[in-house]
Amino acid sequence: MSCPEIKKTHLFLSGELNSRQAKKFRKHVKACPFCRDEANFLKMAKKTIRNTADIPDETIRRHILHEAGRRITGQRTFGIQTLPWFRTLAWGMPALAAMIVAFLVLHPAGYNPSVNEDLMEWRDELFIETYNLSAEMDDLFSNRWVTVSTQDENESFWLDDLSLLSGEFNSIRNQIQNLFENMAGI
Amino acid sequence: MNSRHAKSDARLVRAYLAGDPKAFRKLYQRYERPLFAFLLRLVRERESAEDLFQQTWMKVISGLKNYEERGTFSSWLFGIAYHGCVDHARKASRNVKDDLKSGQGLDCLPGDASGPEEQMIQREKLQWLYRAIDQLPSEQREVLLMRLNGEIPFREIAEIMQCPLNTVLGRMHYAVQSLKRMIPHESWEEKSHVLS
Repeated sequence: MSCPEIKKTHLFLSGELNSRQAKKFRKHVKACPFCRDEANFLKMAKKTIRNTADIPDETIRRHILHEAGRRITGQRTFGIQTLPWFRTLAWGMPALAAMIVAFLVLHPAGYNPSVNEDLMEWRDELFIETYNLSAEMDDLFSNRWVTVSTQDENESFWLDDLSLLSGEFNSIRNQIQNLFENMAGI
Repeated sequence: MNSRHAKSDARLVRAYLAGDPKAFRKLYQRYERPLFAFLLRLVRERESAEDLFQQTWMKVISGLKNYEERGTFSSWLFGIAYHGCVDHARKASRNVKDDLKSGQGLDCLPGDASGPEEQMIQREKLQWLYRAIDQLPSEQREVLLMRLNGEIPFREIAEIMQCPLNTVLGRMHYAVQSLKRMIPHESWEEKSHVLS
């Protein structure tokens, strides 16, 4: 058994009845157990469902808000991904480091038995550093790392990312410098 | 959302388009949970729900400049999400209603319940409800979730789903009837006068 007016319960609860219809329905529902039952159930379901705490991953929120900020301000935000020189540098540095290592290790003039062991060690370290850097760059460019605008209150996120990458660069630079110094016998 | 929210949403959209990113943040915060819950219940897989969630907001961001306030913002948002789910199911060559086990891989996390006991009750209710919702035919589930998560008016749900209002109301009613059969009566019966 049901009530022919039951669909109106839904329209009533969603505020889609006009004031005259709503008044009439309010009278009806006081006397109708079916419509009242329907409304009670919906009230419970809505309260329960809307009380869920499931939210998407934090990186998604950051990415969406960053993108919204970037689109509306119409300006380049000071995120790593938006800086062309950084992109060039990011790919250029590991390549340059690899070339220098290859030169030092393979070129006859660079070969010195007394420093060979150290060279090999540095070469391995350099390889690991450049590999890590490339992996982080991959993450960065595939948007798994999200940087946010400096206008954003979460400014520290991109600074963290930047300092991390900056650390990698410094490490590579130091190793290259050590290699040169060692080769020169300093 | 209700009409008060609808007006506030429209104001936030205008503020965002005028160059205020904080307005977008407010909009996002308002719909983060309901939209994600909606997607999660439709696709029933967290990773896909997150992808669709992000895609939906990206479409919103790029489409806001051409957004016309014909309907409510929430209808527009949930409409984009709904069509994203339809495409997702089509691309995966499967029907979202049939291929996944009920509640597979999903958390049922109650939100702002007061104490541990209340939290437990809420969690139990949520599990009952989700299990029951997962067993509904997809058309009924879509209407029910759009209404309960997004508070989308039925007339706008009818527009989104491109079917008559009466069909939407029928789906909603059948969904409620099915859920009431599946869920123990004592867990949802309340003595409060909801219509007073």
